[in-house]
Amino acid sequence: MPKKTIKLVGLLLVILAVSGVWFFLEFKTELLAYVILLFALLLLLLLLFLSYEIEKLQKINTGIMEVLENSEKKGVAHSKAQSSVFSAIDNLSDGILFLNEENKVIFINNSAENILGVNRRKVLKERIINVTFPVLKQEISKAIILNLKSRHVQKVKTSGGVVLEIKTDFINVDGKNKIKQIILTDITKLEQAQDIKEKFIFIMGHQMKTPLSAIRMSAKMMQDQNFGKVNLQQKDVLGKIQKASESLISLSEDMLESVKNNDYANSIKKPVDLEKLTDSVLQLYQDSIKEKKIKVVFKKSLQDISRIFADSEKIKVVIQNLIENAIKYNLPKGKIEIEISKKDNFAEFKISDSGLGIPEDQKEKIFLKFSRVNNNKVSGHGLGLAISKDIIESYKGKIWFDSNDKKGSTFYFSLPFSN
Amino acid sequence: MKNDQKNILIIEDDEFFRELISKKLSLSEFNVLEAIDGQKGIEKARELNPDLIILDLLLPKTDGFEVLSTLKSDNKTASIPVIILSNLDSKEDIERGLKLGASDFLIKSQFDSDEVINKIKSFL
Repeated sequence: MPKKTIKLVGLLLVILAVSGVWFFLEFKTELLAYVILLFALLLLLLLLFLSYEIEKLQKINTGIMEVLENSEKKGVAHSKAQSSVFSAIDNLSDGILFLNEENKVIFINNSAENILGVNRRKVLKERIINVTFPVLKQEISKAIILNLKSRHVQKVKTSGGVVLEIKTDFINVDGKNKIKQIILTDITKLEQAQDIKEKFIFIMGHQMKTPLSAIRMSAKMMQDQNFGKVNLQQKDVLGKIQKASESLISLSEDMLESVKNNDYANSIKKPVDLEKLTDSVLQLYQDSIKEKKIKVVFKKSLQDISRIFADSEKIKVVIQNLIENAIKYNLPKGKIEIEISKKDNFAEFKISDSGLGIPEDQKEKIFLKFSRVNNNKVSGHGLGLAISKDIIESYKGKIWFDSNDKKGSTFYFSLPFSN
Repeated sequence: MKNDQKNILIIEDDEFFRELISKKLSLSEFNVLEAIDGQKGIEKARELNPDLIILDLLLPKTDGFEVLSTLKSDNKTASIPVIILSNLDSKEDIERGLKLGASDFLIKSQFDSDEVINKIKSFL
């Protein structure tokens, strides 16, 4: 009832009451007049009260309406947001299926339909065990279903030659219920790239090394006069052919190393004896050391440095690179000092040479691939230090150097002790 | 075949490399037998019973590991020493070869031809 109407009715009642009172007063009935007046007043009060309450109710009503309106707007927004999310999931490049606890399909996106060659209308609400995937062999479909009991990743090939990575996982919905999630990722291109990389490694590693080995061997045999006499000039040339082929063999080995999956940190780890490795590498370079008449001083640690765990072969590669550089860049009758010591929780390897040093403007590139100190007299490919850095850092170690141009260099690497 | 000469069978598919090894062995007065793939290598080993075999691993038809395994499981050829000469140089390959019964493992890109001769003489 509108407020104005209430007031109007109230006013009319007052007029009626007053008129009634006057009427009765005229005809001398006082008691009745007072009663009627009182009644009118009471009615008026009641109307005023009601009017106030109704106003209050109206305010509440308006408030409720506002809340309802806002909820509706939020609901619409929420619903829109939900639609956007589902639309995004529906159009992901990965295929996605959700299964409930009865392994019934409750959601399948467009990509999953295309990848598996199924129609969602025929798949939704069906138990996955009853669904036939035309592109997958039966044993693979069975394997997927079997693996629904736990988190699992597997790689399969479809009848169309697509390589799929299938991940099964669980999503906790409300603390009690879980939805099973199957994600299908097309990794065909990744597999092809991996295949190309492996073929490249194979070609570089073996198909090149065999003829290069034959060239090196034939040059040596000719130099040794296994194919008849050779003069001094021919011997000299044959020596250079050997060195050139050795250089190419070394390059192909370095390139192989740099493109391999350099997951050193996850390779087999065993205790590493740095001193023993250094001794064995020095043995390999005895001829070069003697040829240049280099004095080698090897200072071993008096403390226990046995708690390094890594792949010995890889650490040997690092030591070999550093020792080889110390010899190559050294002067005839120069000196090499090697020291292995314990520094807090690290074992530190240090090698100093009295060689050519590294010019200031080339220091920052020293660990980059194919970077070499500009020196026409020293051969190399510029991969050794880059590979060494990768190896050391994969074991959470550090590699660094000090050098002064024409005064020699000192290279260091440190490896942490294992707990 | 001369009776006093030792017979060495080379199983190697690379012609150039095979010729070089043969030449080196001949100069050291070994009698050299050659096979260009794994299958022929197994046949010649069974037929001619050489004193030693030099075996490459990357071979057509039957790879070197399979050849080695076959030779070592055959009573006729099991006692013949086998030296692997290959560019497969990973730790795993070396361990596998030695586990299958190879007497030694030499890496082509690193070995010295005189070293091979010394190794052969040590096994004979």
